Amino acid sequence: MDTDMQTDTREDQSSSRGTARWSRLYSTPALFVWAALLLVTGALLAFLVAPVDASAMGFSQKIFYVHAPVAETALVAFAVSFVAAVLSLRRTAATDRGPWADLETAAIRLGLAFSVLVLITGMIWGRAAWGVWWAWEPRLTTFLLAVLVYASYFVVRAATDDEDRRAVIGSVFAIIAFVSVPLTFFATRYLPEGLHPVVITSSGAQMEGSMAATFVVCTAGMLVLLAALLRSEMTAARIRAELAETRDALEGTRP
Amino acid sequence: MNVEEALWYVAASWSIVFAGIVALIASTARRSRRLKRQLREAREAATRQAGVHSRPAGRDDARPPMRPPS
Amino acid sequence: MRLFLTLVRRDVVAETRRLQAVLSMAIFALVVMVVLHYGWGVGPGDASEPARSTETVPAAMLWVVFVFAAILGLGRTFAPEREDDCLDGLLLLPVDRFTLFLAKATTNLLLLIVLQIAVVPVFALFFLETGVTHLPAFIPVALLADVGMAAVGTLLAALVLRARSRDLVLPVVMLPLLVPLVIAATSATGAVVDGGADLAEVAGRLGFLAGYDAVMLLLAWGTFGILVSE
Repeated sequence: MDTDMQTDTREDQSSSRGTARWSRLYSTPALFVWAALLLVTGALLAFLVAPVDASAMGFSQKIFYVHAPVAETALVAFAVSFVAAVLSLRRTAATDRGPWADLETAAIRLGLAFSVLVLITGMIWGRAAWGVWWAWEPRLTTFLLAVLVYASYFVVRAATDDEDRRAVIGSVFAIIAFVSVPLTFFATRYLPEGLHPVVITSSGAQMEGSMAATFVVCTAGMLVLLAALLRSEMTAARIRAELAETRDALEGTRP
Repeated sequence: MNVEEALWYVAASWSIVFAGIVALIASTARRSRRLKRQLREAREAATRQAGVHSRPAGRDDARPPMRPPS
Repeated sequence: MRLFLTLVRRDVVAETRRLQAVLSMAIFALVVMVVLHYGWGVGPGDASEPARSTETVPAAMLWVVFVFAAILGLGRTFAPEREDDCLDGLLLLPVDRFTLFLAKATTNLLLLIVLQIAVVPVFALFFLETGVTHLPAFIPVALLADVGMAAVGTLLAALVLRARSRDLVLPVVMLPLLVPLVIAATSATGAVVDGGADLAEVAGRLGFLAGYDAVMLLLAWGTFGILVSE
């Protein structure tokens, strides 16, 4: 129908006319499909194929296959936000800054969502492995602080009324926030003396073949999912910008 | 902890993560639909308005529509 | 009765700003708990020394007290510029932005040191049995931590310079970023005062504090100019 074609953004129109059918393979919906395939495969591998861990953790070690990939993906999201923030600040014109600031905010929002999942799975794993719902161990504490720091990112932005200023402040804060993550990890892991935090996430570097394969599949699935979500966030940001433009034009021509 | 209990915990972790992912995708899809609809409406309104304004302005090459035959 | 409910509903809807504030407060409460844990040194899953009687306060709690007092004061960093409206005047001076930052940060550092000189004896009086006999080893810890707090505080004060309700926002934003510093400072202080360690034993933690300070100063060097201009 006519209306359907009109809802395509300019990018969609060009890509459907595009040269390679290959580009359909990594279009945003396709990425979601890839992610789903990888994750379902990973889940099956984890439950059916990977051997039960020989250590005292036994079967509950299988939480690792969902906890660690989510954790890595959260960190990747935060890293993306850091790069986007740096690039956003290097642009001097507010309009050039826009896309990078949008990427930065989207990455932080997604990183926050993934970090909450890290905390939940981490707590469940801690309960399964050590009987306590919370332990002040490095990974959990670092992700807790990351959630709090990146939540305050939105607090800072909400408190700034001027829109251009908001992007600048957000970017500066995003940079500081990202730097605080390794600092916090290092501090919680190496410094407290007299507190021997129970390290619940001990996973040996040498993973047996099928364990490693499962881990790789799950990690890949999560990362592809992150890419798909970031892509769709950026499309939404672009539509939002076009919408604002169109609405401004409407206001302008109104008698 | 026996395997049965551990299974519950592992299953719970995986389910929560999958549920979270589905929720993320669903909210993204819903927002995308809403934004596209709003953009379409705004574009239609803009086109309509452009139509309104081009009529009385009287450009040389414009034929005023629906002019009664004199 | 119905009028009462209508009034309540209207107030709830109108207080969305307040709800944002509640979010900030919740974040703050959680970070306070994290800080308290590192001050106290106990929590689930810790195989710590069981001999932590409830009657003695760990010396590390000094930093909990101190960080909150410091946050209150750091919020006033740019108050003179705001009240007298002379930020633009300062920017006209022929110095680069980082020098301006260093000037402000040094003032904050001096204020923090003065605060500590006042607070530490009182803390020892109220809470410590041994008194402040380990002062020589404590001083480097305190100084390094003060530099870090001054740097972060000044940078964040510039960040929220033109923000709405900045007196609420600044503590919420500053405290999570200070946690690594708090961890290092409490750990070192506990070792020195309660454990009687000397400087060599806490060298690792002092190194971390120095590294933290360097990183924060580097960030300030890179971003302060953008924050105060425009």
